[in-house]
Amino acid sequence: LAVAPPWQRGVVETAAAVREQAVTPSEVLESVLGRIEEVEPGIRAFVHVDRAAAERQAEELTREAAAGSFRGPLHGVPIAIKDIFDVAGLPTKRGSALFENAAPAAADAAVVARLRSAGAILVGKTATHELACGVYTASSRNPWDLSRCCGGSSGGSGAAVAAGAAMAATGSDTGGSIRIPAAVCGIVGVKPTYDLLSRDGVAALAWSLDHVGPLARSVEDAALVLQTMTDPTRLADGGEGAPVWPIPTVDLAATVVGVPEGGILARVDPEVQAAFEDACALLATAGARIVPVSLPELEETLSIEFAIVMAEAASYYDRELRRDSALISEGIRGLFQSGAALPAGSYLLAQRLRAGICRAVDRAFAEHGLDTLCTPTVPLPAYGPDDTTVVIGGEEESIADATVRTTAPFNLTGSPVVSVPMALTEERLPVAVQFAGRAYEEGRLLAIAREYERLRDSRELDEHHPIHRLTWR
Amino acid sequence: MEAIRAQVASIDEGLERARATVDVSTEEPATAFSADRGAAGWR
Repeated sequence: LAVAPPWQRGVVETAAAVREQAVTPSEVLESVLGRIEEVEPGIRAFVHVDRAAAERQAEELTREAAAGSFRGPLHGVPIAIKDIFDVAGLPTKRGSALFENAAPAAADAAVVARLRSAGAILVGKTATHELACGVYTASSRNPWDLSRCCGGSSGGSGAAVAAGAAMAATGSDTGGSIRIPAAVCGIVGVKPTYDLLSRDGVAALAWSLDHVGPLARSVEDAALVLQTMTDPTRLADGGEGAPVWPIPTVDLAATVVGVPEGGILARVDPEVQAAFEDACALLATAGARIVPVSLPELEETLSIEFAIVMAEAASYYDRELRRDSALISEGIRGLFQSGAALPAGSYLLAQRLRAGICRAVDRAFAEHGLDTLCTPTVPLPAYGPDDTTVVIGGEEESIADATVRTTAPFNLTGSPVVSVPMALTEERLPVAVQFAGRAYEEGRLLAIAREYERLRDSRELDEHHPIHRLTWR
Repeated sequence: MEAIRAQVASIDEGLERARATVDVSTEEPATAFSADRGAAGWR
């Protein structure tokens, strides 16, 4: 039986192999850099591969490992960083002409520093949709089908992890920007509870909606990276911050899964819908109770999401909007200018509506005894880079609205969410399910997601996954 | 300017539609501060 090359292995497996001295961090990195050379001309996931610095890091980590010294749980694991997170010594360009000549960051973002100190090798910066405000990531392509997008805004992270160019990556999620790339690239994405992970050193888009989190190829890998990114002192006052690694066990026979009725799931691509129904049936077969939940409050969330994004982004980028607006692409400039013109009363109404939605979701969890609310992560599979609209159920809708309709409600509520691949469409494009939960219940969600990952029929997903595609040219 | 006015009007219409399903009569605006970690962590 052929032994998998290091780049093909996951976070947990690699960390264990390094610790057992079965492989050195330098060997792991060399293998991943070779994979990057192979896939990068096709997927263009990176804006900068930091080869020299990564090699220096790997050499140090290799010397330490040989002496039996390990920095932490990610010793020797190559991880990619979305280019809105500061990495000391590298510019943070945010996918924007505004920051094309940005000075190198003086220090790592807080979560990047945690990854580095845990022994992760930082392989480079991944492409983002301009200013992390969109669902395309124009420069990058989807490794499942190079004619399609890898989603956004953390699209480079999604493509890199799916193709084996990194074992995990960081992402940010203001309306779905971790979960959308994870879903269309066939990997796992975690949007943790709002404010669980520090946003220090991460460029904002809309500070009351921005979340940071990991993308990885398995629930287990995502959990270990999430745990490493989490500053335990941020858990102390909540009292519910059970560690997510090792993933706790869950009894599906005692698990209640809510599925929202109507509204939010009114327009879902038929193949995504069929896969979602199969996923629910599988969970039910394993003993989970599937409960339809009426949540009409989730039907009109797009205006609330956009009002908050527009107003906060216009404020955050106020100086750039006044001085250098020509350097912002037309669509985003228009959105931010509308945000600057939005009356304060509208912004405040959006935040009041948001509080009402939070209350409604809390009530649904309490009334039905839910462990999770479950929906397709995105109502459609990967789209083309020039597609602007999609027709589902005879209705035409913008891709931006369609993709965030299922994800953004959980940015408004700040709930933790785990997205896991479900199946492939006839065109062999991955589609995903998301499990949302109560605040600070990441451990429970990861446990449910891992059980689902174990139960699902993974043969087709595995057979066609880009991680198993050896040649690209 | 016309496009901006149209976008703002569209958002305001959407917020009004949302009012039909979300009762805000007793809700204070949510804030980004997490000192009081309420149900969703940001209230």
